[in-house]
Amino acid sequence: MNQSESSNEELQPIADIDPLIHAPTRLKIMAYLSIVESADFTFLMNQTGLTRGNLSVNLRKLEDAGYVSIKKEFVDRIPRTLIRLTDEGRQAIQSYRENMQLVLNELLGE
Amino acid sequence: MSQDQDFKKLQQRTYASFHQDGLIDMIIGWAIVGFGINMALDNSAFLFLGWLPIVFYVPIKNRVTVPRIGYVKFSSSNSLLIGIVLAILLVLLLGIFILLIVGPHLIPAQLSEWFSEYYLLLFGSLVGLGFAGTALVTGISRFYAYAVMLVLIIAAGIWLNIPDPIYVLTAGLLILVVGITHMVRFLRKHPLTNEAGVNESE
Repeated sequence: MNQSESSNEELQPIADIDPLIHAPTRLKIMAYLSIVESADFTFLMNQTGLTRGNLSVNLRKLEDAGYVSIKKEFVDRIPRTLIRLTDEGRQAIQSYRENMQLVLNELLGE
Repeated sequence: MSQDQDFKKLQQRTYASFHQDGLIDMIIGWAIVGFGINMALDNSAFLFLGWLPIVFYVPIKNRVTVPRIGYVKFSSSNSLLIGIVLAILLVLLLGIFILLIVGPHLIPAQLSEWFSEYYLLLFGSLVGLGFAGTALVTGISRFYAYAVMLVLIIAAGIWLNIPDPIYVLTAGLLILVVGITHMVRFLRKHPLTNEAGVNESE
């Protein structure tokens, strides 16, 4: 019983990892957005190396989760899709980093 | 700790990527060239002309760079850090400038003589520190080269007894040429296609 409880405790950081962010494509997007205030669709596409369709689908998933906000605007009559992390998204990526650090520490026995 | 470093590296790579167009280099180079012409002709209009392109920085960035690689707004904390570095250097430059004007009455004669002989080396070193500080924060590594090059060119100019405006112009032109080279490379690497101009997610 005690052993199982302690095992559950050890595995808790893994269970706490947000699967939505853990997917490599979305992690890339979240990582880039976390280091800037906002970026447009073209910039994210260039930096992440994702295709238009792939980026669009994953951004929608992140938007549905409330992690990013997507705003369309016109600059000099050219449409620009401005993407930024919401407060919830910033919190989520921060928690993800902390949990991953815990998991790695566990694995490395630190 | 290592995760923080990874994010810092990612941030620096993003900065460097947004400034791969060489526009910032062209503007700084042009400003130094303007300073050099001002020294050569003793006409402060060139100093003004040297800094004039700053006004066009954002419009050019929006017209040339953004349609090709997209738009990004960096977090204000980093911009603040760069601002602080540059503000400290500006205060130091102004301090030296004031010392040069009223110096003879305020500082020992020996120091005043040293200032009047090596003031450009001092200016160059401070501007070089500005380049190095900006490179440290943004990861634009060629700014380290500018820092070293600026100090070396001024020191060599003084040592070889070359007239001041010549080596200031040389330093400015070198930075300008590097900027133009980066711009040409950038335009070739990122040609403007119909698709690049469209910034839609769906």
